[in-house]
Amino acid sequence: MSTLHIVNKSPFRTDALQRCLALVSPGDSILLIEDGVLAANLSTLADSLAGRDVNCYALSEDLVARSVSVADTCIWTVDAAGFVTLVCEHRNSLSHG
Amino acid sequence: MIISLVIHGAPGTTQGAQTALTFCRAALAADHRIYRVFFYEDGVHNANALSVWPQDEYDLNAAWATLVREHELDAVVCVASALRRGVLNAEEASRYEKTGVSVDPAFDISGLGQWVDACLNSDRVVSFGV
Repeated sequence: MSTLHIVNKSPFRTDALQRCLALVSPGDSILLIEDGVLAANLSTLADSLAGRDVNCYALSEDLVARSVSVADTCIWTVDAAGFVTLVCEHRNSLSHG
Repeated sequence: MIISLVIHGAPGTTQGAQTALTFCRAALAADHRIYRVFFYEDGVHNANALSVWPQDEYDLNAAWATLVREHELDAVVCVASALRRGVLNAEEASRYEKTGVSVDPAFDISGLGQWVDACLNSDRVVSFGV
């Protein structure tokens, strides 16, 4: 039963991403939205996901709004329609604030 | 799929309500059914019809009210959250002897049980503005 973990806080302000990374299971996905996309250009995020069978996505409109480029090819960008698709593809969603 | 949303964030203080609006539009465009949008805690401010936004800023309150009307969405404002924040309909204003009504008529005021019902009757639920 897979879970979509949604992170909306900056990794420089809260430990939401760290709490998320501690919870994800193989087959889960992480979606970075709002200030959460500031983690998308951290090489440490890619390192944390290596070998864990966890896909990571970032919301494109929030990346553009913050001029953040994705650092690693292991992070995929999605638009609002892709956000909806991710929610449908996972049995549960969990928002980490 | 049948999807419900819960919105915790007020317009102007967090991006959550804006993200939820964009998500809701995208879900409707993809022919999913929105079972309920539940406004909780500070999220009830999205239903305040008395908010006035500067002309050069996006009026999120109006955008939500328009979306709710256009798609006849079931938009529910948590009563306990709403009362303490001055988001009242005519019935609640009369009950508590207040002179003003602030909630947009597109939204219903009801209890947290409506969110429990949404969770039981939706394939997916998503939280915004936490």
